[in-house]
Amino acid sequence: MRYDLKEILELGETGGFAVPAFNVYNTETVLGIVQAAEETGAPVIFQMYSRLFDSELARFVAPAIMEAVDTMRVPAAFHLDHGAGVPQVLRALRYGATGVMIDASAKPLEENIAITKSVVDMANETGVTVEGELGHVGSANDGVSTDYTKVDEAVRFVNETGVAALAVAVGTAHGHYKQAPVLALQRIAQLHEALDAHLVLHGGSGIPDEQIRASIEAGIRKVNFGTDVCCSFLDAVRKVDPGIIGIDTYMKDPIKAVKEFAIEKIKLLGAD
Amino acid sequence: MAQIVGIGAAVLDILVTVDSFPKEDTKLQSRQTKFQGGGPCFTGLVAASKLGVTSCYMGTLADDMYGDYLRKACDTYGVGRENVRTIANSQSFHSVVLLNVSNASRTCIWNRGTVTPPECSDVNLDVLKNADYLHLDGHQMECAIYAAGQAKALGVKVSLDAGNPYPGIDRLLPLVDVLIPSEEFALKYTDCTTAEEAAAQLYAAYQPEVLIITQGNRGGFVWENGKAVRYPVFPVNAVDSNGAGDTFHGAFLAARVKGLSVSDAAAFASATSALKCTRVGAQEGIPAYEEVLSFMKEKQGGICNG
Repeated sequence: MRYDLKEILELGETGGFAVPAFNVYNTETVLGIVQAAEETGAPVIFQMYSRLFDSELARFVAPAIMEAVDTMRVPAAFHLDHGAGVPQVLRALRYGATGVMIDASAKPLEENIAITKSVVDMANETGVTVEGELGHVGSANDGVSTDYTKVDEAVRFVNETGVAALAVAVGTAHGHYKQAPVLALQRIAQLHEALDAHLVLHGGSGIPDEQIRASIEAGIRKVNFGTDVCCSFLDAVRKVDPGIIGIDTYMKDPIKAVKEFAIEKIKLLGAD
Repeated sequence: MAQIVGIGAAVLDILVTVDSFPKEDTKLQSRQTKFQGGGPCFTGLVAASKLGVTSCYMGTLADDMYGDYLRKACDTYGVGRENVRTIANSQSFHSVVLLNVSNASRTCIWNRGTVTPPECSDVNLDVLKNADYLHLDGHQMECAIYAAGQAKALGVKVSLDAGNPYPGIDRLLPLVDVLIPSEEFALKYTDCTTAEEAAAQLYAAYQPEVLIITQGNRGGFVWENGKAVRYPVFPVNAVDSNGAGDTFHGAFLAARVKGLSVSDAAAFASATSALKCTRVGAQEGIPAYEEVLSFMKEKQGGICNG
């Protein structure tokens, strides 16, 4: 069932859980997520990183995602992850995305608001809702920042841009953590209380389970899994018997690995 | 169900054929005066229909004699009008077009009349969702933007015949999949000095799936991977260029619906447009599909690439 970003996150808000957003890169990763969602009955978000929209990849993977979104029995959305700019947003809308993220968080607040608002205005014409980012979630290689998203700035950002979801800096980073992060649970709760937008946790890969659960209790409604999807898929690919020549046969175990990984995260987020 | 749905201008053209352009404050006898349906969107729909692709007009028409003529034109050319709302006591969008036979120029004086534009509620989503293309021309902007947004959500491609930068065009352009502006529009809108620069700028800003710049009787080009690839021009003895541009758009979409590639569809549209110029009447002069194919075959040796 095709859901808009806002609609699917409302399910999380009502049910007190977070919707998992899995980064997909090819038909195999899409299939793994489809099977996990159908088996658990969980709503899921398929998302593709902005970089894929700069090449031919998104154009060819998007129809696979749309086929999934339109034929699955569970609610599903197709989202642009970390939209780097308007061109990527436009391509995502063209390929059928039901949600887009614009990430202008590296810009000063005023500029971030202006860029995000222009994308919200554009996407809303098509009925698509937007995720913005405030407080930059950096790379784990640079260490986790304790410069958390400020509540007053977040209120202003949401009110002035009209985003449906907001990625916040609350102690996470993208990629592999050098040491387990400690999430700013109190700040999450304050933001959840103050904002008319759903909170998104980026850098979901590698956060201890109990912290994920606590962050959902505090108000996180979307958790992104990028790095761990790649690892689950690639680790399985490396273990496949190299004597297998048929690519479809070769990909059976990697698809299963993605499915198993996704089921684990779906359960962790309480989305099943 | 229509393969192409159009929202935009449907105009009653009063075609006045003259031997030369009149001097101001003088009288001039015309050779001929004809009424016919016009408007970029409507003529595009007629072209598609005459080329064998189903089309329908969605919007409003006045209840005056011009409106009656336009309704009849829909029926004559097979353009569906089931989704047209009639506005009582209103005057149609109309224009007087001077066709100068000495140089095949056309000069248009137009008036929007008092017919109110369609509202968002006039957009029949059940019809739209089954179409291949929504064709727009920048008129009736609010309704066009709404319909374009809905079309995108429904997976229907949005085509824009961009002739004039009407208010609201900034909101519409990001929603367009098939963007075909005139060179005049492209230069004016981007403030560039060449059509190629304008194409690069339009592509960077709006990322359309198809971008073609039309350059009148010089042909035009498809913007492909950062390069201008000119489509063929078919030299003819033109007698009436009125509606040639509108025809190009309808023919391009019809060709795409029939499965032609972008470059083949552009060549087909160019040929359709050229053939139309050999006949009087923006809509009456539009050829049928088979005529265009024979014309292209016949002209194969004489094609020049712009």
